[in-house]
Amino acid sequence: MDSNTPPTIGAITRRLQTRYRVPPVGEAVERLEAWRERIVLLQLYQIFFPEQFAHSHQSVAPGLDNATGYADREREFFALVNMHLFPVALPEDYLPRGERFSEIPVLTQAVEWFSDEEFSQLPRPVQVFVALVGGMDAMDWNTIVPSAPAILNGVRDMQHFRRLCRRAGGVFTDAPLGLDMLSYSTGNLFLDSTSEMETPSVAWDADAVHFLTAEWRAAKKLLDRFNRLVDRFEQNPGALVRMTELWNRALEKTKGTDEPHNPDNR
Amino acid sequence: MDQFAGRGAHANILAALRAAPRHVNPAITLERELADAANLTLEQVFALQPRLAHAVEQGAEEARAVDDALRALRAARAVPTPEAPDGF
Repeated sequence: MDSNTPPTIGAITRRLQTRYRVPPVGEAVERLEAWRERIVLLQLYQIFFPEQFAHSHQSVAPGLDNATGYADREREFFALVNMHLFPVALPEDYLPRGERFSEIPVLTQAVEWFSDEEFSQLPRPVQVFVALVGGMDAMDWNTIVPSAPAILNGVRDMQHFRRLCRRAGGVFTDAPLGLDMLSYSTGNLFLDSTSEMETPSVAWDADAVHFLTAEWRAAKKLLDRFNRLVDRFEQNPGALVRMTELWNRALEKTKGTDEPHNPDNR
Repeated sequence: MDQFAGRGAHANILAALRAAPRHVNPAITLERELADAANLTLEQVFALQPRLAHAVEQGAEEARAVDDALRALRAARAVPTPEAPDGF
């Protein structure tokens, strides 16, 4: 509607009803709960982005028809967090009007490979990492790196694999990171949680924001290293064959023998 | 109920109701104030925190007490009065 068009009688009536209708107690409590959360977010906005907060012209109160939702100033804070601190879901992308996230809506950045479509879009080195951590069938393996040996079944001695990679040097030095990324065991909150797992539950407070900011900074470093690793393997496909050989050599040995420890053979 | 005024328990109930101070659930009171929040300064909004905490807790508790009382009243069985009302 044109902003110069006068509001209709119906619109004015609805506005007055919303403004002056006394809500039931339960609804009033819900609106106050939203105000408690809103004040926490506004205070965090002021702490983490004092300049932007001081110059903001966005309203700190929600619209009349959005009493339990986010005020424009809160949405502005979400956008700033997303841009400068760590990835969060924006309310306008995920929530209907009038609703709030119960905690910090952390957007995890793990590399996902659960559907065929996701898997087919991954670069080949990443597909190989998936295969090594047991994420694909042996039959498909031949189509990805035809010249590579079969991946032997059995439990890996990860320390041994890391040693082998270090000894091999070059592109292999960081190969264990590729496996950590695809097995979601980097130890970083942003990289170890997928959309199929429960989202990490963190309430809004200054300590949590500091923690997530530091965690995301570390995640970005790991992601950069991982992307460089993938690029180097893409430029040197033969190294994928060699990595598979190292992986097979890292099979845990059964105590007292030189036989690989293979739980499938028990 | 006025026709029972002055008689035993009924009289006590009416007297208590009449003597009760006017009271609005604190959650409703604060919610109505905040409906005008667009006119509040940030300092005023931030200063509301202790009142918000109190209003949410006290308001919810009072609402539960009212619900309990209403439930008890609805479940109460009718009891015949031992005295004939005026006019009978």
